[in-house]
Amino acid sequence: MNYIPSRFNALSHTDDGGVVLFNSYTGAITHFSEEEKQSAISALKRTGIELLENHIQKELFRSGFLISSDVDEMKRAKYLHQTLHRTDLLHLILMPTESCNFRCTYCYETFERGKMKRSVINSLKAFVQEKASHLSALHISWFGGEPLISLDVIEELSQSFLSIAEEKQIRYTCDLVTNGYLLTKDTFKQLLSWNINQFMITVDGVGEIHDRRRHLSDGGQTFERIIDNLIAIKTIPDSFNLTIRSNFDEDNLGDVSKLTKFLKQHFADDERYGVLFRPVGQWGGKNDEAIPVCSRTMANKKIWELTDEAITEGLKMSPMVIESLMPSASVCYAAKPHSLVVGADGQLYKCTLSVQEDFNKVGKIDDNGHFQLDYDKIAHWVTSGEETDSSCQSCFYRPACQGNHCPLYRMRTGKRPCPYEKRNIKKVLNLIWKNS
Amino acid sequence: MRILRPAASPVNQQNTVPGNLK
Repeated sequence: MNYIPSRFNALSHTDDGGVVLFNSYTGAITHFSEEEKQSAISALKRTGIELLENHIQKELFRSGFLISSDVDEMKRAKYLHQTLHRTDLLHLILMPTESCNFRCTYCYETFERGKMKRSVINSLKAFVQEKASHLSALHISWFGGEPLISLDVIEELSQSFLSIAEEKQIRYTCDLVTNGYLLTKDTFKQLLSWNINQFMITVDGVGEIHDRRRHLSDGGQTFERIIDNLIAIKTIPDSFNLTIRSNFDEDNLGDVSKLTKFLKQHFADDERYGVLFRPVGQWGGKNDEAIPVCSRTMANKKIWELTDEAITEGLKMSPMVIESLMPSASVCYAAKPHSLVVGADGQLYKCTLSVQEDFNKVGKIDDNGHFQLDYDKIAHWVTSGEETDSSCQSCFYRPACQGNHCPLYRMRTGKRPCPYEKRNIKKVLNLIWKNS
Repeated sequence: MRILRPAASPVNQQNTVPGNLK
C-alpha cells in the first residue's frame, strides 16, 4: 500500500523555523520543529511513500495529512457535504426583539418589528417540543435587534428548551450576540444559568472612536458602560467564552492598535476573552454609501496584522477562528438545511442580513408550532455552493466551507465567497501556532 | 512535534460576510 499527501493539506512556516500542517477534512493541526520539518515535508512528496517508517510519518497518517493511495478524496468531500442533511440537529437563530438601543453607523438592520409576539413564543416552544424526540443536538443563537432588551423572552424560551433538552437527553448549546450595554454581571449570571456561554460583543475603538460609530439611538455614549460590564464579568468564576469583536474601516483603522493596548490592560490575563477583527462592508444598511470601507486587499491584510499584534501583546485570538477551520464549520448557517432564523413576528428566514428580501422569506411559524416552509426558496440557499463550482470542488479548503461560506455574497456578486481564513491560510496557521 | 488539534471524525461534527454586497 502507498501513502500519498491529502489534497486538503495546507502548510505554513512558523517563526521558530518549524512548520504547521493543517488538514481541512480532519481538522487536524500539527506543529513540527525545525529538526523534524524536513522529515515531515519529504514524507509529503507527491509520489508518496511505501511504508510508515517512523513516528513522524505515523503522525502524518493519523492526522490525515497522508492518506492511503486508494482513498477517493473527492467522494469523501461529497459525502461530507451530504451529511449536512442529517435531521437530528437543529439550529435556530432567534430574535427576542428586533428593536435596538444602539444606532451603529454601519448597521444593516431596520428595527421595524419590536418584541417577539406571544403567539410566536408559544409556537416556538411547541415546535421544539415536537421536534425533540428526533434530535441529538439543539443550538440556539440569540440575536436581534439587541436581544437583552427582551431578557424576559430569553428567560421564558430558555427554561422551556432546557427542560425539553433534559427530558429528551439532547445536547443543548447557545450563543448570544449583544452590543454589551445591558450585559451587567447579574444579567450575565442569569444567561450562564440558561446554558448561554458563548458571547460576542463589539468594541470599535477606545472612548470617542467607539462612541461615534456605536452610539445609543439618542446619540449617547456607550464605550465606558460596555467596558465596565466586561470588567465586572471577569470576577465570575464560571467557564464561558467571550469574543470581543472589532469592526474596522478607514474611519477607525488607525486607532485599532490603541484599542488592542487598552484591551491588553484589562483582559490579557483571562483566557475566556478573545479578540476578532473584521472589516465593515456595504451590507444593505441605509448608510452604506457613506461607509469608508477598506479595499479588499487592505481588509485581507489588516485582519491578520491586527490579530498578530493582539497576540503579541498577550491577548488571545477568538476561538471562533480555529473553530471555523473544522470540517463543515465555515459553511454559513444560511446554507445548512437544519438552520432557520425566526423573526420576532414569526417570519422565517435563512439569512440574517437580507431580511427585507422576498427570496429570504422562506416561511412562517403558525399558531400550532408548525413551520410552514417554502422548500423551493430554501433549496436556493442550500444548494448554491460546491455542487456547481468546479474551483470549489478542487480547493484544499473544500471540506471546511463547501463553497457556501456566504450564499448571499455569491448570489449578489456572482463571486466565490471564500472565507478570510482560507484567503490567508498560511498567516492564520502561523497565528494559531503563536496563539497556542 | 506538537499536536495543536487532533484529527476529528468529519461526518460526526456537530458544529451547528466576505466583502461588499454591492
